[in-house]
Amino acid sequence: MGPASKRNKKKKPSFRKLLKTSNLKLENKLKNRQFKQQSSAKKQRKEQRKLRQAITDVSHKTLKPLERYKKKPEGEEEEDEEEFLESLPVDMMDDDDLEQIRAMAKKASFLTRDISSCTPVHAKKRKSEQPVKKYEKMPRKMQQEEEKELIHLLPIKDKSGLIPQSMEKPVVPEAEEEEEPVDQDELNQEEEPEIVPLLTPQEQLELRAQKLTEKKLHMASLSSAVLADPHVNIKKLKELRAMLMETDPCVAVTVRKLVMVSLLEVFKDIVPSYRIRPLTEEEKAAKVKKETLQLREFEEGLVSQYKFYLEDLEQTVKDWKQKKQKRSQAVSLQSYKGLAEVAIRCICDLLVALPHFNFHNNIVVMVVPLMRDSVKKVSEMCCGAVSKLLKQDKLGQASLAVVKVISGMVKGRNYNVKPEVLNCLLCLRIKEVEMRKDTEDTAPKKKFMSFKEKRTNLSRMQRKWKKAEEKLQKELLEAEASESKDKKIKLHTETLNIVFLIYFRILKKAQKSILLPSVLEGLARFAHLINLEFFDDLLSVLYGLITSGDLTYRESLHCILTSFHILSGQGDVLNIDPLKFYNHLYKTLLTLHAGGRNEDTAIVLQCLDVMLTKRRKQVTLQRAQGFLKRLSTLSLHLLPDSSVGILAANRALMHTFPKCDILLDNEMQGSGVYLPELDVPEYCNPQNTALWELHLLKRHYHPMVRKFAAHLMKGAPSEGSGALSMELSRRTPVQLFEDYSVKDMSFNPPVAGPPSKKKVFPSN
Amino acid sequence: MLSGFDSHEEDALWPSHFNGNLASEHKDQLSALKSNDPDFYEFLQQNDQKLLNFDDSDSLEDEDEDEEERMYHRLPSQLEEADDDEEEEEESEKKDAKKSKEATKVTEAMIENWRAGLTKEPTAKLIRDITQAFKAAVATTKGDSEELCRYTISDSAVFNSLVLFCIKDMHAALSKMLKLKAPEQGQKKLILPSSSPRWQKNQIDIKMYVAGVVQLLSSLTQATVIAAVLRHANQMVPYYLCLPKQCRHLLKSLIKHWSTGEETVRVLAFLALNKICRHKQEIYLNSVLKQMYIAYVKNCKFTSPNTLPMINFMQRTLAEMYSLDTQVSYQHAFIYIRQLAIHLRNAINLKKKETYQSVYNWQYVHCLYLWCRVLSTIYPSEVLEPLLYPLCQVIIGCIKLVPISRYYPLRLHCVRAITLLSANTKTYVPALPFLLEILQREDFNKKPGRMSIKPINFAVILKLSKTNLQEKAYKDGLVEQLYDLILEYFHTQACSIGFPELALPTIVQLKAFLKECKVANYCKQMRQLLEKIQENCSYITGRRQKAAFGVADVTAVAAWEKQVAVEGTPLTKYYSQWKKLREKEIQLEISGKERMEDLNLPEIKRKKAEEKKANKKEFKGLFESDSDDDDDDLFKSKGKASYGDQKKPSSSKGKTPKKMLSTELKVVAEGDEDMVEDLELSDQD
Repeated sequence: MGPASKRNKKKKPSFRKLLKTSNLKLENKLKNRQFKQQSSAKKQRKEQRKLRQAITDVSHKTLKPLERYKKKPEGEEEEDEEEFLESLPVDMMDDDDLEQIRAMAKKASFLTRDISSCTPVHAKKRKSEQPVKKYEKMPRKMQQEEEKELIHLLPIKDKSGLIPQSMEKPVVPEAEEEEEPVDQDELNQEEEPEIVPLLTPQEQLELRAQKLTEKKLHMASLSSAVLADPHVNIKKLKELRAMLMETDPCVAVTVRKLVMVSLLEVFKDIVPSYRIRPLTEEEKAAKVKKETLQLREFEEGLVSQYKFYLEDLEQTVKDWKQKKQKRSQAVSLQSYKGLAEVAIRCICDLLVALPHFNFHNNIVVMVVPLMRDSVKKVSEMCCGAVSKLLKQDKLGQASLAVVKVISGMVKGRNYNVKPEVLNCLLCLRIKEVEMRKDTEDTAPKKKFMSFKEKRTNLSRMQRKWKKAEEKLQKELLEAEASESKDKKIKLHTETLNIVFLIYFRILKKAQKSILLPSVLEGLARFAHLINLEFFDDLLSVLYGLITSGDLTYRESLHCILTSFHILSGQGDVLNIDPLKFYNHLYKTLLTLHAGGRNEDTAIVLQCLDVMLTKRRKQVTLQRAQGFLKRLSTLSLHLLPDSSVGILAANRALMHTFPKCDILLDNEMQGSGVYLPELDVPEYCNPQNTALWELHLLKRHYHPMVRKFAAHLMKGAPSEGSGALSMELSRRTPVQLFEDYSVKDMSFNPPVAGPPSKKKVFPSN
Repeated sequence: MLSGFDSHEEDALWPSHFNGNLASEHKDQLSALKSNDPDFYEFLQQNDQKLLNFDDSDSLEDEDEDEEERMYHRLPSQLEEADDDEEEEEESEKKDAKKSKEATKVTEAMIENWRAGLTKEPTAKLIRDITQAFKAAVATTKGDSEELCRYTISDSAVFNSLVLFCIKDMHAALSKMLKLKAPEQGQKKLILPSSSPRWQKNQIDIKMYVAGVVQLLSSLTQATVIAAVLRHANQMVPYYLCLPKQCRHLLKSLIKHWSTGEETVRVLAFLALNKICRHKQEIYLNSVLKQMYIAYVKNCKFTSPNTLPMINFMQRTLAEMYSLDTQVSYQHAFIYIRQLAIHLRNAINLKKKETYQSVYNWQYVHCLYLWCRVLSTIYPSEVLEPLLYPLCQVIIGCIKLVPISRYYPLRLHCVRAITLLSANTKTYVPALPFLLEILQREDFNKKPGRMSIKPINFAVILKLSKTNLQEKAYKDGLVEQLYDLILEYFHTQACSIGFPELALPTIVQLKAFLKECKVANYCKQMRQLLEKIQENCSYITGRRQKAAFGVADVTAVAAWEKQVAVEGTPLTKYYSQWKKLREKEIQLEISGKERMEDLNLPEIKRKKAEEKKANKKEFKGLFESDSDDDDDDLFKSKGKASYGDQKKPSSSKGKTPKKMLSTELKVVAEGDEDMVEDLELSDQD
């Protein structure tokens, strides 16, 4: 991260310099800029330090296993946030709370004492869910924070303190959300049948239902007020957020969850589409219009509320991870997991929804370590969110941040992470990068001539013209709202460099780790973007891997594919004989069969494409024939979709190497007999055999296989009676393989229904 | 003594008096009576000698049974036995009987009269009387619902002789009365009684009689009696064909017997079903096929060494029914295979345990096997051929759904179905990879965790238990199964020109296996297999090298393959030897298995007795539990031996089942000419 950012900082002024005309002006400006940049750099550094610290923090703190918390799976988390708001799944929430109530009910004190004023019985016991003193119930964290916070919190506290069991509505609901009454009904319906073995269960439940309804109404009114006019009602956000500190033990979990989700939706709605930057001193000092002032106020409030919200979420997750019963004792330890899961879901949602907004880096730092969480649901959620972000990210900024943090984590955890984490990287949308680092330095120079050059090369008039032109161009550039391509490519380059750094590190230092398959898959995917200078080393490492024999056949297929991707791109300048790779693929082919993983055929087909069809000039006829024969044999033992793919590859092979047609004749060519079991395509004498297996394939149960077999039997003619139809001949082997997929029991081609009833086999 | 199927049937009139083992019970009762109440015993001694001379052997002769009757499978004697049995209750019954005094009571003398009348000249009136009496007899089987009849039957002896008399003489009498021409030898069309000028007049009586037979059929429980009545129903088929309502009832009852009865009953029921469907295809075939399929599915839920033969029988006969009309069969097969595919797709998509269960069960597997059998029975048929593709795909999808070792038996069943299909339909379906995968994944070197005495019978299990997986018997059985299946699969393709390529992965795998495996027993088997395959490979390679044609020459290749098949390859020769040995082994295994099966001990005894009676070979096909296609050859040869001269050069469709049936039938029906004729007809249609 270091060198890259430094370079950026250096370059920026130089770029600007070129645009300016006067030296003096330039100097002044430069000074200003530098000053500004220094301050911003400081800030940035600070932020990054925080970031780094967060990484190490998390990596240190999140080690503890969480077996004790594998409590109950909750269906609730699977729902979408939208659903959450629209049809508040109170029933699930109730379960949580009910459980808590039950847990508390086991202790006699719960019933006998006044909840709000009782003293802790076993205050030292961590797990105890005893109601505690009032001051204990107050969030300590809040006191550490700004004073301002407290002021706004107090009224609520006061009220709850005064009337602990039934809260008064502080705000008259003006614009109630429509679903509220429905919820109430639902709630009541839910409550009635449930019987809790308590003294007055009915009353308890009713009380709770009443409280919940009030809270919900309150929440709804606050949220809708904010949504209705965010600029005016930004203060209400604070009030809403304060409800996160809900202390009433019987509704705390539900209310907190609901508040988290409501806040999430509110933020998603009111956050502007730009990043809010802090005001400079001058700007603060300058007089502005009333509207601007209001806007600034709004922005400031929004950012701070957002920040606190994020902090709360983070704190919730942390509490869960550290199994600490901090904060008020209102929430039992058992409910932490559910609470944390909701919090994580909110964070993940924000990660995907607001990549442009402030604190996105912090979110990334929060989410990435959770990707390797031992709780499967959490890790899946986070991995899914990151994959989605990488897929959606068009600017490249967010991807870069994510990749940086992942890289740090992989290294920090000593490669002990889940493969899913690395598989997320496969979602990166990187199509092109700058191949040479130095190009980026030269590029701008070409665009705008230096002053010196101008002076020597151009006449006065021309210079004037040029100046005007450049100015115009610059303005145009600024006017361009979208991020420029150059910038994007730059970001992509940096991202990919980090990705490769991760991959290479693993290849070098952790060859035995479970991450290897993901690495190989990733390398195969981005092979065309790998820098030339790594090729030699990489190829030797890959070859070493293949020959070591430790790999599964799938991994070795990835190895081969990666090598040939490298070789087929800019690698063709390298003079490497990939013979060993050919032999290895030839050998590996027979490990494919219908009983195994059918998806691997796609990799084989890709390999064949790069190895034989695209490198036709480097492939000997013997080798091609050897492959053709073995592939035909292989197609006897595969599922029909794979067979179709392989036969299509054979067709391509026959077209590329027309001399392969001797395999359709039954005449001896030269000496030797065909040795089917030999694993070297060159020496197995393929010229002395024929593709007899096509006759078996011609009797295959799948119509398409039959068709291709008959086609190949005739020597794969491109026209005439034996030719394939246009659509079929245009499809590539991989496409055909996908077309005729049998994965989900679809029938392609469809089976004709009985003539009377028009039913056709389910085909997708 | 009832077989497992019909023991739960509705309470019949004669609950279990016919049961032989109850006969001995009865004897015990009598001896107890002797000690308790000597006076009554003496009275019995004077009045009812027969009751005391009770014997549970079948040797009892009845004086009023003539020679002809004895041909009916010892049935009459048993019937007599039964009514002797009931006389004990007679005293009490008589009181009830007196209530309906208005109706004439049927006596033995009346029956004798009727018999004499029928032999002389069957008039419409006579027939009506008999029908009324028969109706009354049947009405008693219904239980308490008392219908108004002209006659009453209160004596079970009378009941028996009446029923016997009817099923023996009625058919001949009716046709005589209606003046129907006797069917000429070689004539294929049934003569429908409705063609007679007297039909209209007597229709009501005949309808009543025919309905009575159906009623009787559904209320009986004793297998031999059902068989006799079924035989009569079979004779009466032309009459049923003219009476649609009665025919439907008959079909329903026949299907019930076909799917739940015991062997003889099933065969007879099937013959009747087949006869009806052949002659009124357009009306009945559709619904009969549907009902039969449903009955089949219902009755193959549980598979055991005892039920497997029955399931196989149903499969074969149902396949026979489907071969009657391929157009109709296509619709059925399409819908049901589609149903199977949908089940499978749901299981694939949902990935839940319950949905797996909807595929991984016996019914599903037996249905797959049924359709394989149907498609292979009706092979060269343009109509049904398109269904091979979805069926194969469903089978392979089924194998791949949960490919864990606990489901290996299911996989083996599926492979067996594929083998059957590819042997009979000249279709190439890859099955070897699924077998080789087992060989590859299973670690045969690992010491078995548990020793077990009992070998695992792969034919009747779908899923292995976890303890099974650790047993030695599991690995032994698995190797044996793999050997069998690989050999059988290769046998189906032994003469194909692409054999060496087909065998290549197997050879590689087997070599790898021999290198790894250290268990001498397994190695020996696999080495032998490898040698045979390699031998065949080199034979085919050598022959095709000499061939003068290229790959593109399809007709020459076909001719070449035919030639090779005629000459035989090393593998086919070995296979036929091996098959004979294997069959013997299986026979031994079956008998051993039955001894071991302590759950259904009485049932097995009965079966064995049956077997002895029925010429021993009769149910070979039914007992055959391991592989099903192998017994075809046997039946083929047998069928030719017994009926060689009568058989027309049969059309290629459905060869084997028909022959099989004819042999079975011969033994079962013991010279019933009518039925033999029926089978010939089936060839013609």
